[in-house]
Amino acid sequence: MDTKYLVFSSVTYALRAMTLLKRHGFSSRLEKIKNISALGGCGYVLAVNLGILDAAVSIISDEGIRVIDILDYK
Amino acid sequence: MSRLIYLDNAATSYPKPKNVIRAVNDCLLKCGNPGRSGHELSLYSARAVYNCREAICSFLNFNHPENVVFTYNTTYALNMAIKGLMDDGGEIVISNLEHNSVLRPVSDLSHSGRDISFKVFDALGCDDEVITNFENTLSPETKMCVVTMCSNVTGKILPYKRIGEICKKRGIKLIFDAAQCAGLIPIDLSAFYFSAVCFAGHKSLCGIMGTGFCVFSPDTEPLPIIQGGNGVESISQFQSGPLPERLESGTVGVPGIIALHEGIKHITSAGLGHIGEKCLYLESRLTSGLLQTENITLYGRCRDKVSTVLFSIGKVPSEKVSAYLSEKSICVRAGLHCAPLAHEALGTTDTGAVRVSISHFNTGEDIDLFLKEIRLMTK
Repeated sequence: MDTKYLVFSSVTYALRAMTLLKRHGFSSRLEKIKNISALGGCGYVLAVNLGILDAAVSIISDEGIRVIDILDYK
Repeated sequence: MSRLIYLDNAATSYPKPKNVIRAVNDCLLKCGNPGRSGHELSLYSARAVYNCREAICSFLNFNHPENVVFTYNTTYALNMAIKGLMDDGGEIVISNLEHNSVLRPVSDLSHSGRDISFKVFDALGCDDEVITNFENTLSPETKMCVVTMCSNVTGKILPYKRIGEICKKRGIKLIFDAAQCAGLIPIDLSAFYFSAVCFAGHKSLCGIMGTGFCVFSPDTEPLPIIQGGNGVESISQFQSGPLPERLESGTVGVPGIIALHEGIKHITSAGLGHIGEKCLYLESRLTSGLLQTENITLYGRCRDKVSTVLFSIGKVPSEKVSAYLSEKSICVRAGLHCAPLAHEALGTTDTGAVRVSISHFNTGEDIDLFLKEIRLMTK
């Protein structure tokens, strides 16, 4: 699997993370989560390429944004 | 019909910039419900809403877009902040320049059986007097202060940074009402203490009516005053989760939010400094003209103010003046401006007063035509 899905507590945090990644030159994609049990309801994920996963998580975490989970499948 | 002269910008700004009008139309063609679905219309909308949070942060020098909570007006934002941050027990201090959007929720809390009371300080004088009055009104029981940054009646800018310093030292929650000054003066949220600052999107920020927002300090944990669907933890019957969704129950006003973003772009492009200077120049021209007119009383003149002028003509009821001007296609606001304590302090409760509020879209000719009609009326 060359795509990983970062789970956030809300669409706002997902978009904030997406903006941060963009500022660092990384692309990501906002998608609705399909596995609703992972979040206890509706939610959004950021799809990122596996090759940038560690860097992406680091950038996002450094800004105080919590990545709730990292999924292989959304 | 003569040409329209709009001088009621403290109520809502008019006209709206062309990019704002275009954006609303565009939104109705392109946007779904944000933060709910996974299709492109919903995702487009979610990105647009988020981009406005970022634009607000950039405009106000604030670094927490998730702490920008959209509301439908400043009143809603103030209710959200006051009721969402006030604990049971204690005292709230407000100024006598507050709008009913502060006075009424605070009065309501004082009758809620939660052991909450409120006190009012006089904010009409010069800055040092205001600060002295403010400090003398505080007590060990004071848990929250709610203060307007700028009076909607007189346009006076209060010494909000000094008020912030006092509250910070005493550990008092502080809520500001910025409805009347955002878009007219620079507001740097990194430069003063606050718990929450409440804004109107449709006044000098040039958005459309039905738009407001509240910026919460990162160290606050406001409770929601409205519960419902927010796209977060849908399985739970209780509303929790992070800001802003915790406080944004139901569908947010996407056309208004997108319009607000465009309004901020308009202000940034025109230059906030230029807007402020032009408005104050026109205000000065208006004030000089009124001072040269017989039987006019001007209220609340002070050094630090925005381009709002309050006056009366003898004992003529303000609504009569407003109606006369309306017949001449001149739009102003008469009455008590939903700020009864301010009018009580000014001694204008019986007749009300006439408020003229200028925007950067006004011209010197607008002011001269207004003065001409006032002089005809006072003859």
